[in-house]
Amino acid sequence: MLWVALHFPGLPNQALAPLAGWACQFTPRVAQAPPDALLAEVEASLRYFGGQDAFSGRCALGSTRSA
Amino acid sequence: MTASLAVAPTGLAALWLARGGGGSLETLPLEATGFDLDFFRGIGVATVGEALALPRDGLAQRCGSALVDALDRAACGRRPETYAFFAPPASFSARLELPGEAAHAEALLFPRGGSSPSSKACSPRGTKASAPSRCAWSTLIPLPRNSRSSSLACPGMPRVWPPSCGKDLMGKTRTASRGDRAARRRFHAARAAQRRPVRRSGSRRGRLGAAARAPAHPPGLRGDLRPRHAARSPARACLAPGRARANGIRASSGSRARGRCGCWSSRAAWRVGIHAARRAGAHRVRLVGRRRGEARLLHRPAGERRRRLDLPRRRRMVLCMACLPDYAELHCLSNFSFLRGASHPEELVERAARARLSALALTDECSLAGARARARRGEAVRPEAHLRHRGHAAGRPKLVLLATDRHSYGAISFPDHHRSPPRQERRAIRLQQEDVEAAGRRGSLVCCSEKDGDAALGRASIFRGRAWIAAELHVRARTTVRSSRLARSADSSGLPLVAAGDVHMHLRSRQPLQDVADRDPPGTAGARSAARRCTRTPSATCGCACAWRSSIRRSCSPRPCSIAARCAFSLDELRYEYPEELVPPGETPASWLRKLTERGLALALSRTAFRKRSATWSSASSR
Repeated sequence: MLWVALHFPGLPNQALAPLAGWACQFTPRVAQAPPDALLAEVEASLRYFGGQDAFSGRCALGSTRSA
Repeated sequence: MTASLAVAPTGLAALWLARGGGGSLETLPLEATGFDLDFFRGIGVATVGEALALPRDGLAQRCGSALVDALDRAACGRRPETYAFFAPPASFSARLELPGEAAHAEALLFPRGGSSPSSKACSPRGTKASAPSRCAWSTLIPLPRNSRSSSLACPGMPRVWPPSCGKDLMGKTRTASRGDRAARRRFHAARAAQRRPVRRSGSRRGRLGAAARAPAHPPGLRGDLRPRHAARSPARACLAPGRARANGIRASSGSRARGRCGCWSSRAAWRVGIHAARRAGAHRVRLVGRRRGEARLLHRPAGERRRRLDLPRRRRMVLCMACLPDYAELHCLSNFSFLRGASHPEELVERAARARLSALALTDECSLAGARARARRGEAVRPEAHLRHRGHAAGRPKLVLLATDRHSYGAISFPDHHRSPPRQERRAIRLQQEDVEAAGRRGSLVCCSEKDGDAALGRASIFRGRAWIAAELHVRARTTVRSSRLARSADSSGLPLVAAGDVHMHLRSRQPLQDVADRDPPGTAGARSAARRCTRTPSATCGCACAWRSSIRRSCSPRPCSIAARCAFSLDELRYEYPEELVPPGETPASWLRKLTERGLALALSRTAFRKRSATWSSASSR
């Protein structure tokens, strides 16, 4: 099991669900950690996205753009 | 707005690290955890590592067991974590700006260049295209088979025969017939005729002398790094060790690769690497023409000579497939099965055509959309995909319903109590027991799993003679266990077994995409089993079938292709039919539709005349 946490400081209350929907492009196992964080279990997705480093970079870039 | 990301083996640890700005859990400040900090400040504890070093019993008495449980979950992973995963809403509205005009709805749903797994899975060019097979399937023409030792015909070649004797893949011993021996003689005659005559420029000793006098490599160049023009030197000839010594060639270790026998193999080393050239037997295959007897020189590469014979490189595989029975895949999921299939219907059909399957069943879960999408594109790819439907009946046994004709297709597609479900309930449609029985009355075929499937069908006697247990074997290590379980299920239920593949992807290269959606984590037995759920050739399927016990082989009498032959339904048969309840007695649908059209036409014309008249009146009044 490998978990990725995305923390968005100062996120509005209603904006967490759209971000969870955005994170579903990486893995179907996405959980909301209110009020400002997302948790995703990504072990099965690492091979598809080219490893942990590539996955982390892609996820961080996308989360910054989405937030 | 910025976002911070953290990765950890547990979810709680990842969350704390993301909130604390990264680093390690030992040095993470306790502010990131959300605990009550007054107690920890009072005893001088500031980091998670220091909190973990405190005695558990005293910490649980002072701060409660919830804090200790959280520390155990985050730092040690001793307790399981339970999270409610996000479920996308049933409906949503979004605005999509398109760069140009969209000609069809699929361009709206899955624009090209998408980077998500779903867009890659649904885009026809989003993933790696299937590599063409090296075997020249298009040049093989199957001949009518009169026996198991049937033959294939290649253009420009006499008949190529299967291995003359031995055991075939089904385990039966076969011997060469008179026709095989005659074909073998014709084959050798054609092979000798197509050989290019060898031009001999001088004596063998003279050629070997030229090889020995070949210029050495430039200093600094190793044998495995030689450029192509250097590899074309006469020294590419292979020589047996004794003959090499007789001709004064000394095998030096350093500048050129050398086989175990001492023969020169610089060309092979340049091609396949120096280590591969040093393997035992490599020289016999690549550089020396004869397998038995004395070694001799090769005048051209072995692969080049095969091409001149117009034979595929993997000839043995072609010959093995020639003597295999027909096979049809009866259980295959496409990516229209959400979070299960990893390949497009088109890719599955194309792969099935290459693997020479006689038919392919697109059995998506509770959906016929995959087969419909493939039919909408109007492809003409053999084999023709028949429509199947896989649904969960009551009690959740897995059933694969096969539509044999138009009526059974209707029974599968539109269950009576699901004729017009509300939109929000369509995702939860599950076939009930009465739906399965209705499909059986309409002539559908059904394949069920060995778990509870036979029990669900045991009550439905209407499937007598049209129900089978799907024998789907993937993991070879447990084949014996599973085959014995299948035999028990077949004996207890009285249903025969039929081989199926439970295909989830068309190539194994789709396994990373399958891992994203699969419930089993990579590396587990379930994931390894899922990795074998690709479209298999008949040789692979029958190779797996060879591992079955003899009792399984005997009871597995119906071939999948014979079941597929009973399904003569095609989507082209579907057409619009005027509802019979709207036609009055004494009228046919065509005559009644004509009357309605004429009435509407008269009404439209009268309205047009009224509009013209009113326009004329208004213009006259304005003057």
